[in-house]
Amino acid sequence: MTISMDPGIWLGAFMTLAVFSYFFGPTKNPLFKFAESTVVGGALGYTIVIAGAKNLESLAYNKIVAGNVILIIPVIVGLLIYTRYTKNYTYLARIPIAFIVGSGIAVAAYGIISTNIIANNLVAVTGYLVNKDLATTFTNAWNIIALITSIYYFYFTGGKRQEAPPFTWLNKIGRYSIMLFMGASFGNTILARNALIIGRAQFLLYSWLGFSP
Amino acid sequence: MSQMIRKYLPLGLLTTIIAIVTIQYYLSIQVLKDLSSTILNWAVIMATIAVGLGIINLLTRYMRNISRRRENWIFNLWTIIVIIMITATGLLYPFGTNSTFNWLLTNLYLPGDSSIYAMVFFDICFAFWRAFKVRNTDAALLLIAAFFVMLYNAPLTQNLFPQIAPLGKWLFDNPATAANRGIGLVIAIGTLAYSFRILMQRETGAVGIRESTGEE
Amino acid sequence: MTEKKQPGILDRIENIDRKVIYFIVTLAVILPLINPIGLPLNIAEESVNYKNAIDDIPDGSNVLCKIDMEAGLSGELGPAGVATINQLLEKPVKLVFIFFYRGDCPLVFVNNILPNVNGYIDTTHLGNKVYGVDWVSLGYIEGHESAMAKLAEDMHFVTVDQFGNKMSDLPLMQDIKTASDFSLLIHVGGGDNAPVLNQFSTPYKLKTICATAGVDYVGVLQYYKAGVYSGILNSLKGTAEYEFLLGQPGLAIVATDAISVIHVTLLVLIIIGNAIYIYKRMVKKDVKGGVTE
Repeated sequence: MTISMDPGIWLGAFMTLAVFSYFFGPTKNPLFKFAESTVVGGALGYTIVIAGAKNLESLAYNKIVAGNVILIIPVIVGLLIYTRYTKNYTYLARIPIAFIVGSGIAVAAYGIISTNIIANNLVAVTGYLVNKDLATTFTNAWNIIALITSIYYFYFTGGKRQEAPPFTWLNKIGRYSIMLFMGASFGNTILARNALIIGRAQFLLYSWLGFSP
Repeated sequence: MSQMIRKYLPLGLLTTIIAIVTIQYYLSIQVLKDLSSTILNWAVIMATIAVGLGIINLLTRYMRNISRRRENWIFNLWTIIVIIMITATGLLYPFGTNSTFNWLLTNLYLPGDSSIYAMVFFDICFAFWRAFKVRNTDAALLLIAAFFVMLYNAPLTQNLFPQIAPLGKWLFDNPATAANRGIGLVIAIGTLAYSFRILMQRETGAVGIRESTGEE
Repeated sequence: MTEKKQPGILDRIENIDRKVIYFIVTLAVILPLINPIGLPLNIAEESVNYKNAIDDIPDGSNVLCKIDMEAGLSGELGPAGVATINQLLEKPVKLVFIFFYRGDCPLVFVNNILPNVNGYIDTTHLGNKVYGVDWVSLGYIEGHESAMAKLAEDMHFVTVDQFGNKMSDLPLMQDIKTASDFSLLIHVGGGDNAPVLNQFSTPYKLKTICATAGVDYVGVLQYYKAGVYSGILNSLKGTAEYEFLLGQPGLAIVATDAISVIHVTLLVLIIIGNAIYIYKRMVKKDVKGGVTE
């Protein structure tokens, strides 16, 4: 076990322990607040550099300098979004928002239809109708029931008509199917959270304290 | 004229953009494809410029806290110092390649950010102890599903209970996926319905126009 | 005047200080990492398909790699990124790395993932792959799904790469125009699986594999079952299976023992907590007043 002599690793270890001091010391102690404010500052810093300056250079400045001067128009229109901070010209910010929101909605809508509805759901549901043996038939029947009742639960819950059987049964089965999904998803989320803490522990034990894996 | 620029211009732009970009996916008309490509190009540039909004909001709030010496003002000051350090080193050309910029982010920011994400682990552990009780059928089903999935995910329990652990896999592959498809389909249809309402200008909130007054 | 009831042993256990629980789970994390047990792994079919998808890439083709994780996910998916690049380095293919999730993702890639790759010297060489000729990193592109749609349509949408090199100076990028010039898309990351499928995989019929975070796994699994993904890895567990298949043990295999011990600890906590709860409900049913929580 040889402790690292790299100042960067010591700084990383300090930041890690400062954040975890939230649990083992008084909550919101100065060490934790220091680490939290450093992370916020770092996030904003890289956003300005990478998401702001570097992207603007790559997507607009280089192309304008190369002769594509029409790209000055989206730069000027994009700057209108900062009229939000003025008193009388706030409405001008809606123009770049319309561009950003409109293009986002259009590409997402196409993706939802082509991938989510057609490639995923329609193709998969036809697979539920293929029955090779008793086990597959039982599983497929369960899948079809879970699919239909979970859709039913979201669209047709509520109202006087749904207070009598068989609507209450459909409602219940749908809710139970969704609970099974949530439970399975939660069980896997535990795996994900374990992985996060194991990652930090590996850094502290292997990179900082020098234990060998 | 005022109404034209305040309300109808942004809504008209929104509708036109959605229509052009959506239609070009389904009709092979070169003019529409070129127009859509230009719109996407412009939208990405505008999104890049809009990154500064959140930064300005936060900086304004922090400066106000510091000038009025509010609670934790010293930490707000430290945040601004960190922003200045990282931005100053990062803006040395070529942007984002300076070694000091990389060192600061790698050793100051990345470990802190990873650790903040990992904090959730401890809260989940405590919740397992105190909060996750089988109070009713729904909670019982949720816990049973999570229980079998956890048995499946851990190699130790997979080897100790080779008959029970595959039930977790079956839960994943079948009822969970089927219900997730149902939820996904519902979300997809809801998103499409909302997008259609925006296209028809029934939802003006997308560009920040309140329906009651027509103003922000 | 009513007497205050003394808390029984079950009440004391139930109301135990949270720091005790934190201490127990901290030990459950640390001890298996210091003293690994070495438990056997069961390999899932999805992990085998993930490896096979990379094995089946035709020689000389281009691979689009979106090893796109922020700092928080690097503990969970970093080993998957490392193992994937290690397998790709053994094949005569060309690699293009793209990032859309967050601005710090290229930083995590260069500082947390690349240094752990086999034969890494610096960013000019990845094993025997030379930067600009055999591999390129385009850096982070703001704009999410709109930017993905634009880049898929025109790979020269960005004019400089992550390290400030002009696209015209990169020999690899001269033959790549759109997403259809790639034979495989590898997505290691979380949070934006659907936009990647919507803009790259489905319109360009690009074969796609994904190493996903645990929280997104159930969502990704439905696409795998529908045939949209050719192979997937489930968080650190799937990565451990993948490392085992490659014969290159890394941090994920080391972590499986810790995963096992933590899971067993949590299962024990939940069983004891619920046993106490159910017992108290059964006992208090016989007593007037019922449950007093």
